[in-house]
Amino acid sequence: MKKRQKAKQQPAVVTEKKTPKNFFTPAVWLKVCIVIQFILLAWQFYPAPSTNGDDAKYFILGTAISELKGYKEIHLPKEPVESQYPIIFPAMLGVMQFFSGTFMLPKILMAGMGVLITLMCFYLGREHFRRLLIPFLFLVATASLMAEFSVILMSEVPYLLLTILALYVYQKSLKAPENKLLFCGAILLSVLPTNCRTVGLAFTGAFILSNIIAKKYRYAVLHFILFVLITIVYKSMTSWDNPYVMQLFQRNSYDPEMGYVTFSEMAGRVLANIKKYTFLIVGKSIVPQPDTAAVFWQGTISSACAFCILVGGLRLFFTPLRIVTIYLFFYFGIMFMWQEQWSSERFLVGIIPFLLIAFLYGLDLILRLFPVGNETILKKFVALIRSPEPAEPKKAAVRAVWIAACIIILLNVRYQFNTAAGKMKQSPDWRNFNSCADWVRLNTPRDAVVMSRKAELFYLRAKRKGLTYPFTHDIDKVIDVMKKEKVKYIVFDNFFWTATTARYLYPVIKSYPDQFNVVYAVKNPDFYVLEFKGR
Amino acid sequence: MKSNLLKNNGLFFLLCFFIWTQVIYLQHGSYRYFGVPLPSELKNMNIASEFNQKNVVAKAISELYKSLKDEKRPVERGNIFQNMGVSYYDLSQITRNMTFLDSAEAYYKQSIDIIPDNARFYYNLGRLNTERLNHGVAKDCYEKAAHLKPDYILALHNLALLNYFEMRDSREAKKLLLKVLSIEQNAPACNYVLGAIFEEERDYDKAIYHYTNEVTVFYNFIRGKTPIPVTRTTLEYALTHSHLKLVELYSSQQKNRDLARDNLDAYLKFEQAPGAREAAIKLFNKSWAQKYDSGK
Repeated sequence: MKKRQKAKQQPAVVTEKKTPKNFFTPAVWLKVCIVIQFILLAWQFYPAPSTNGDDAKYFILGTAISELKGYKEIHLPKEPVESQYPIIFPAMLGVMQFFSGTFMLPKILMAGMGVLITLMCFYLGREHFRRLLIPFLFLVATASLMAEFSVILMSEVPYLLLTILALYVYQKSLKAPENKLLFCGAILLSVLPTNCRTVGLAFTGAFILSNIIAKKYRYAVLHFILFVLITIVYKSMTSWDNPYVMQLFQRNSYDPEMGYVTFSEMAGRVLANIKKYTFLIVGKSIVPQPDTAAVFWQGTISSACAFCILVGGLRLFFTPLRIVTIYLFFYFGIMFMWQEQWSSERFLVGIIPFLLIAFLYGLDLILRLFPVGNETILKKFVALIRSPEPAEPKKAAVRAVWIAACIIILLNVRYQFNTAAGKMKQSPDWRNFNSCADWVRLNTPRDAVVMSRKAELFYLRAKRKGLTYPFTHDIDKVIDVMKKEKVKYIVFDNFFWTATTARYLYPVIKSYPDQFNVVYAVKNPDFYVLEFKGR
Repeated sequence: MKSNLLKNNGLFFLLCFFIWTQVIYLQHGSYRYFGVPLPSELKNMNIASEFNQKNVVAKAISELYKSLKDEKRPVERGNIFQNMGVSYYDLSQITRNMTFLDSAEAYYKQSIDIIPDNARFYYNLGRLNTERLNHGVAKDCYEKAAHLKPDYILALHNLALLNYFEMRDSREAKKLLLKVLSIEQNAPACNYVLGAIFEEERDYDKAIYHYTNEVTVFYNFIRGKTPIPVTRTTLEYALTHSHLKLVELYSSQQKNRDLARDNLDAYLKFEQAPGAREAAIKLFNKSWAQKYDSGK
């Protein structure tokens, strides 16, 4: 007690002299985070492409660019121009493939980007939320969802890095309005997220709106002009089709003939997605849980996280990071309109650090509400939301935030250690799928076209062009597609994760058995390569 | 330098990244993406034997039920009904439980109600009725299929065999079989039946021509060129009986001992039943003074 009193009596100059002796500065914690994140990523790293198919497609687009074939889907029989995926990430992969055609180098660089996100979060957070910076950094560095996407070739991590970089430079530019270089950098970087992932339209919207609100019109106008210019040039060089916009309004993109949603169907979809994200997905993104976890706990954890994020998002609106609140609002707006079958944690990877900071802000505020005292809870809430960084933080609230952060961090680390072992293992269905691809590569003509459930992955392994069968029960339509695309082989699979082949392809084979010959087969589960006669 | 590395976040990141990369290369540097295929586990690459398995059909049926639950569009529902009919028909063949034919028929009829102009749907219903020995109904179905799609080889083929074996209408069968062969010369069993028809008409040259063609069709089947799905048993039946007929015709009509003997050799290669083998040899020996000797 005496020591404390002495410390309070000491003049400020003495305190400043003592500060450098504190070894555990935020910069040191950052380095600890970087080391931890690298260890976790090394634990989970595997050199093969993941089985989701999208990273295979990105890799193929990168190959097309590196081989100077243009921005084309070279795995498809007619090599159409790619119109769905924005070009930035495939271009990055294309550059990497100039040096190495394997998956290793791009995957290593992806992991590097994952850690760079933590570094950039440090720089962004240092400016705006010093007090919550360390738990925030640990949460980002150990976020299992981000780690998962840092070891596969998907555009989420580069997108996130570009978003944070754009925000950082933008904030720097706001602080130094006379610096033209920073201004140009901020504008240039602000259009990159949209050209990395189409959902970056949320960032563009947030950038324009937040600048209009802040009366920074030159940022809004220049961003808009550059965005339109890039879109026109890019679309003129590739295609004006925008499958993502179409998909947003389609009933089911796997079956485009189902048509487009009506207004009431869209409202239903939005409500269903709000429910799904609130009671399941948001929680799983922050606190990873196995699918077998009890629905009650999943719902409780998720809704608590979602509530904290909502409160934190509101609180961020009254800080210089207002753009983050608007960005999250637009981002979730798009997510809620997206087809329900695709709603998953994956779509939150692109905003995970923003969710985490909103979560911490929200949790901090909620904890500060108690004990309520003489004021009403609403009055206290409004007061706290408008002054996000009080001069004297409540120790109990700070401790509680730290405890919550520690629990989440430990759960994330545990989850990563538990799931890492499974990533290197090849399940029997994928082993047999790869075996079919190996057989096709070694036993069929180079120009043979193969129809399979995962055409992109099959192309990488079999080095044969191919396509996925149409998801229709009209057998004659499937046969027509086979004939039109000059399909020579089909892979009849028994994947554990999908049964679309049994649903759509089995009736085709049974209705036209004269058109098919079995040329290769592996069992448990049964996979067949069938030759299609095409008569 | 050391202090710079520790103080500067960027340099620290680069150093860690460099070390991390080395670790990753040490751990996974030997990884090879491309592999060699596992040994194929099928000796007889036959669709029918592989896909006519209860678990395969059951999985397809369960998936089709799921589709039906979600599907609202009438035409697509019609297609699903048809595919369910096909699956139940297969299930009846696999399990030999003919009650599944009732389900198949109900689904076929529902699909025809929704899509009345698809030849394949009538063909499938025709097959089902053939199975039930409702030859009149089967004939109507095949005729409807052939009407909707005049070059529908499967329907023409089945209609021809139905006319010959069940309706005893050789004239109509002959007309249809010739049409099938004009579309697909490797159509199985057609030449055998045509040979029999021409033999009945005492046109032995044509009969020999078609029986010989049937033999060629079988060897084309072995090379994977058969356009019509028939079982190997059916094909072997047509082959052995074509050989036997050729032994008979070369012995009695064209008097060519060498060809008769060659065909007998080929017949005996496929025919395992002792009684049938003995009868074939007796048939040969009856026509030729020099008896059959398997050693020559």
